[in-house]
Amino acid sequence: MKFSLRNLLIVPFLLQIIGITGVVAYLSYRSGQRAVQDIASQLMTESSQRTRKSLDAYLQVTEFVTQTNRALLQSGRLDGTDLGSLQGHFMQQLELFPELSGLVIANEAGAFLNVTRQNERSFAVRRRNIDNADGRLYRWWVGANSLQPTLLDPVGYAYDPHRDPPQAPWYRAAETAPEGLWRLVVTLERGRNQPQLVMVRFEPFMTPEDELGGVVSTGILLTELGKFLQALVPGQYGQIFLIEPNGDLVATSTEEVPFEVSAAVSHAQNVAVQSRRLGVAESTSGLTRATAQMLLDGHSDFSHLQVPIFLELRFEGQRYFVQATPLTGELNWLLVTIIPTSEFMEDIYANVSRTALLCLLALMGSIGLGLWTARAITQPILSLQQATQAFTDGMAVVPPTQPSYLREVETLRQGFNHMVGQLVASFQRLKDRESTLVTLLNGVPVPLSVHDQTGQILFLNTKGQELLVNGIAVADAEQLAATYRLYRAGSDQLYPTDELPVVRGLRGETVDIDDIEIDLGDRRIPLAVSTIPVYNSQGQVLYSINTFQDITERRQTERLRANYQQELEHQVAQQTASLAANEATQQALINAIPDLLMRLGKDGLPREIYNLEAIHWIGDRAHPFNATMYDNLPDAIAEERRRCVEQALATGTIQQQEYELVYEGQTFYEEARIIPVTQDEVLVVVRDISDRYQVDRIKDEFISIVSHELRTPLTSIRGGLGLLALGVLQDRPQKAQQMLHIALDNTERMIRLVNDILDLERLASSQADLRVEPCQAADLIAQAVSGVEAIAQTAGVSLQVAPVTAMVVADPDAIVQTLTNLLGNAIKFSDPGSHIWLTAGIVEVPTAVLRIAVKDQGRGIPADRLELIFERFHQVDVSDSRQKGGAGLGLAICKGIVEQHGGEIWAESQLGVGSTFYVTLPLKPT
Amino acid sequence: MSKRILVIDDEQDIRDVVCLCLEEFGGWHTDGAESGCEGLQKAAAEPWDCILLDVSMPDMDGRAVYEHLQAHQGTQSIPVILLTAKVRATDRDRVSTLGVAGLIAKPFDPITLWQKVAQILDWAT
Repeated sequence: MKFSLRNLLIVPFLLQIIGITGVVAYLSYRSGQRAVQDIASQLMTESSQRTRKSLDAYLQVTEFVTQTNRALLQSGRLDGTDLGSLQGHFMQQLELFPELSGLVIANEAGAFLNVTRQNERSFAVRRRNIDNADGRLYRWWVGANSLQPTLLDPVGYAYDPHRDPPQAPWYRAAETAPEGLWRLVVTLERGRNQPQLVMVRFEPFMTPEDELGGVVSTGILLTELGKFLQALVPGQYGQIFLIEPNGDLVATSTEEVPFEVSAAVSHAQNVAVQSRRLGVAESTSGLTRATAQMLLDGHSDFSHLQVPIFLELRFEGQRYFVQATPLTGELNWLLVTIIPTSEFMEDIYANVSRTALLCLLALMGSIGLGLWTARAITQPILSLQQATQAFTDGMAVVPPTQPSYLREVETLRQGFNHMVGQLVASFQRLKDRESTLVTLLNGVPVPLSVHDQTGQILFLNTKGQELLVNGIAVADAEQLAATYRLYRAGSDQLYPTDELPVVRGLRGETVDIDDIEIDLGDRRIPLAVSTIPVYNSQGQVLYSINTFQDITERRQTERLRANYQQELEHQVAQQTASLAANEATQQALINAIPDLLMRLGKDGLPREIYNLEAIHWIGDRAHPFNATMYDNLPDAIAEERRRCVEQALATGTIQQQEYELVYEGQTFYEEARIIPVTQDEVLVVVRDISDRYQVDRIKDEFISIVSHELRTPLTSIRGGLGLLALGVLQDRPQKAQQMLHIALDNTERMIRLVNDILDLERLASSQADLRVEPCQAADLIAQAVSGVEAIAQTAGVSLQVAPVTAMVVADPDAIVQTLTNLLGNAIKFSDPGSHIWLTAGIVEVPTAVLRIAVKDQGRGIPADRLELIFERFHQVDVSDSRQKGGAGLGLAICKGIVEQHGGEIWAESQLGVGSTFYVTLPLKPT
Repeated sequence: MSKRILVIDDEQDIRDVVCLCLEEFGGWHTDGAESGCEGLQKAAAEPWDCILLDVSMPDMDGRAVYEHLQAHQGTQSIPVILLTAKVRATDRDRVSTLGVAGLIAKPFDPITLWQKVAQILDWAT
């Protein structure tokens, strides 16, 4: 996971700040609360105490005034009977002591004076003169200037101060309280229909004669007390009230009158205090009630409270501090101070809110500072990051980085700038090089494309763009052919992907092809494509570079050329047809001639040579033109040759030279004909006539043998007949007979020989008049067998025949002659007592033929002679023929006959075991 | 004492005729040999005054037989007359260099044969 720097700076910081602030705020709030609480309680206490003190002071004034009056009366300074001066005194006192509500004096006589304050500088006086009056109590209103009192109750009413209220008259109580007495009293100073409760301090006074003079009192209307309390209330919404332990309200700072104000019917009731009293629970102020209730908190009355009490009250959404302290002194009232926390707290809260605001501001400030700091830190780094990003994204111009106040960041930034500068420079260089390369590549006059490993075109030079007018399409290797519409030349077959030069190049092959066409919509362009793979240092193919040339022109040219060539060839062919024919004829002639043809100059150097291999060339075959012909011949022959050449040139006639040439140990015979061509050149034709010589030799030999063979019997005939003719054998008739037989036998022999020779010659020249006709093989065999039966018998050789019935097309006499010959040979070469078998059968080799086998148990024929025996005059052992009669022509004649019939003849033999001669003849076709 | 003549020729008939001719005309003792080998054997085994030798024999031709005879001390002084059916110049040349006493061509007239042999024998003696 990657975190942003900014977040990393801000978030923990924020968290810390907020956390700490929060904790601190909370803690301080809590302690503040406590402190506030403490303060509040302290304040409350102080306030209560203040109130109490004030109250005490207030009440003390009453006491003091009463005591002062008492002292004055007791001292005689005041006359307790002189109501008039007392009135003035009282009014003075009232003016002096605004706390007082009224003063009263009642003497023993029963006079009564009550001066009460009505409002600012006006009083109400109630007097009961006992001196000269009817003893009724009258009420006057006296104004500020104490002139002209106004009678308020024209008819007074009976009043006895000593029995007021009748149930518990205060006079009597006071009488018996020398230290003074506090008492709640109902006063009718405002009229009978406006009873009021007043807290009075009674003190009895003595006459100067030290007798009870009367009772003097000072009173505070509870409402006045309430007003006093009101003045003491801190703030707007607080309350102070006094309550008796039993819960009766004494005074309250609220506007509420803490007693029942309705006048009662009966006077007694009217002045009854207790019934007039209101409990705190009957207060009209909900707050009062709630507070009292909370203070009570389950207690029956307030006397059991653990005072002082400091509480917090929640009333109607407001929070109030409540303090309940008892008054010191005789009056065991409970002073309850209620201050809404907000009064206290106003300031505090104001403070708190101010503080909170300040805190918040401080928080904001520090957060702001933190953010700013973070920003100050991160901004340059961010700008660095942006610059790096821009750089790696390949933007040419890197946005400038912000300088930072942080040393490290600044160093980094400068380093970065430097590096960027270098990189930009090197990129620029690269770019320059690249643009150079691009310019180079674009300058290449051949369309060129560079492909990456997937086959996508990385670069296409200008020429290439011209060619691929449709532009570069996005295609990977698989779709290249289809996307660019590449076909095999001359067909509608998409070029196979595997064979595409791009693909092959990407496999690492170097490719050159020209059988590809690209379809540009309106036309097809044939291309010659070359591909070269480019490797990286690990030998992997990075790119393939393709050049593809439009070879339309080339093809056209080729085609034109082909056509032209064709035309030309046609023409030339036509033109040279005859020439060729001539040459062919000439060449054929030359080739047909198995002779060396040499065009020779007068100097002896060859100009042209044909068929050098026809003869045995003594000289350097590789460089036959380097030497003269004469250098390549033995001296004697060369001499003769030279003479012939000269003669030919001189006479213009053909010269001939036959000679014997010894070459590599062998003797060859050659014939050279020298034909004059021009005045300076001759044509020399040299032929190897060794064959002819050989043939001649063979013929000579044949003739020699034949003549020998003829002469041999002739010798016997000549000799024998000669002797007979000379008559020297007249006496020796056996000898004479022997000579005659010899002559006859040898004559027969000669006849056979001549016939054989003639047969052979006829066969050889294919003039043999074989009269072929369908004939039965069995018959032929039978004939041959019968012909040799006698000889076999004489030789003591048994002959077994296994013929076959088959029709052949043959000359019967010739076949019989052949079979007879084979049988005869077999008999000839078999020892007495041995067997000869003649078997015939049809064999498929592969066509069906008749095969006849003549098997003997003679001494056999060596393997190397098996073919030679069918040659003329050849015999295994010549001596045999002499003994057995024959010139060695028999098998040759057989072979000639059989082969003339289209058959075959051969022999198989095992030395010492025997021989088998086979003859095959084609069957008559059915 | 009559002369002893050995006739070496592979042809029985020729041997018979020659022997008879020499016997009748010369009254000489004759014997025949069928082959060169046999002829050499016989030539070495007994004294002979003349040998008639056929040139063309299958196993050992006359030339070889003659060389053997010449090589052998016992037989080297016996005059040898060659009988040949081959009449070509080349063949004649081949044998003429041998140093034989005489050369008779086949077929021959018996008188001619006898005369020649007699001549040789005279010379010999």
